[in-house]
Amino acid sequence: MQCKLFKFCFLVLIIPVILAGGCKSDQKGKRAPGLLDDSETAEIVDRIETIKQVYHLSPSPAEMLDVIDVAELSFDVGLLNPVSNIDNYLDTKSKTIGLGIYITDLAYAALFGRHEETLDYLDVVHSMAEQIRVTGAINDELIEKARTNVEYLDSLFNISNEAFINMLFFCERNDRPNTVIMLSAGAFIESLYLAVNMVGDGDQTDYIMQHLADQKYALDNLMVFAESMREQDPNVAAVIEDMNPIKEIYDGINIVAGTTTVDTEQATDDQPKKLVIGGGSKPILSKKEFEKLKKTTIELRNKLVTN
Amino acid sequence: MKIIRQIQLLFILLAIVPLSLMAQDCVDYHEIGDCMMDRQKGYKIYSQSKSVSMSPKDTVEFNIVFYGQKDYIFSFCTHAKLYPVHFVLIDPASGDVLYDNANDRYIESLGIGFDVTKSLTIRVGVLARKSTEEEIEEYLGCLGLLIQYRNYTKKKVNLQM
Repeated sequence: MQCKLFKFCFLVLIIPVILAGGCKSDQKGKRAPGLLDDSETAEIVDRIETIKQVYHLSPSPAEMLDVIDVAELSFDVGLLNPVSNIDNYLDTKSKTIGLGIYITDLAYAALFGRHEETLDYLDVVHSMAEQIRVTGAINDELIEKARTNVEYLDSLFNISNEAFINMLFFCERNDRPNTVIMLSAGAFIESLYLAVNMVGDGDQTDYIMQHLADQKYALDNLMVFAESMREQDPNVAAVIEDMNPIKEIYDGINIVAGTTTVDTEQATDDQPKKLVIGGGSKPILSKKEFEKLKKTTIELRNKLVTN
Repeated sequence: MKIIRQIQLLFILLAIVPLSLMAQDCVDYHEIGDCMMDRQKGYKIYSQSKSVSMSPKDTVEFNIVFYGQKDYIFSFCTHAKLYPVHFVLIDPASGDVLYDNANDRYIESLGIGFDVTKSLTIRVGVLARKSTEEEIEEYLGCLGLLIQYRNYTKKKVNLQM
């Protein structure tokens, strides 16, 4: 009896340690008695083969929309994808893109401090995430935090951003880059859709137009990432095809050349050294290109939401 | 009595197993590693913060979009044996190096204000100065890049009467 108990305890305690040891560890090499000096280490690093990993990253929907000062704009519920459309999405691709669209709508509602809509879209995002098995990204704690912090604009924004970041973490842990691409594509299209519809006759028109032109950088990164997965997943290949008309518009816009300037401010007690980067090349969207972008974005977005 | 001794022995064995053998997941290292010591009040965490698994043999490039009219703080962190972190900021449009922390004694934290929206390539390596040759060959650890941001504070205009 005692022997069995001992064996049980041994297995319960030792198995997790063995499994954990199978994951990447920072202690692969044995510790040698002496440490190398700087020059020796540099030599070693120079002569060993360098392996390069490249990551193309895109901003979250909340960050894409956050650049727009919503103080002078009014919330338009008609721009959002109705929560009732959730039943339209039946396959993995449409569900994942739909999730990207809904999480952008969540960010939009949060940005305007719309409590009711924020909670509604948080629920729908939670439901869609569970359907595509991106579990735990929006947990009960996050929903409760949203319910109790509804009056704080920053909190709502942070919650919508946290939900997106949690999804990225989950997909990375579970080796699902294709999900990140489809999610990001849905989010990108929806944020573009919201932005093109915010361009009116107001004071912010020029600013939003420049913001739209600047989305070229985010789209370029997203498309490079997507191209790296095209062969592995037909859904990603289909997303690339969907996005291509928008990519073509951005590829055709004028880039005004300029020299990048870097000014330096020294560190203070509580702030690190600071650089201020200005100038450089700048994408410019003409009125004609904007109209074309608006039309193409609305068509694609409506196709995606109605599925 | 015997079984208590055996259980005690097991716990002693577990205690001497290096903690680093426990599951290492780099995904959110920037939110749990040294980077968080640079967390600043009033700044939000940028979603393009990133952590990767790397060795001294690796070079990592992050292509990141930074929106204009915002202040950012970059903080790099890694495991003790992989320091110092060497990072270079490159303008992908021209290929120009805008900043190299080798000229700044490999500082790990840097503030950057972007007047206009810009895409930037951040090339990162670890010099692993406290590692032996063998460790440099085999060592694998996490590298975290925490990016925080806030909007430019609106400048006050003094009217000259």
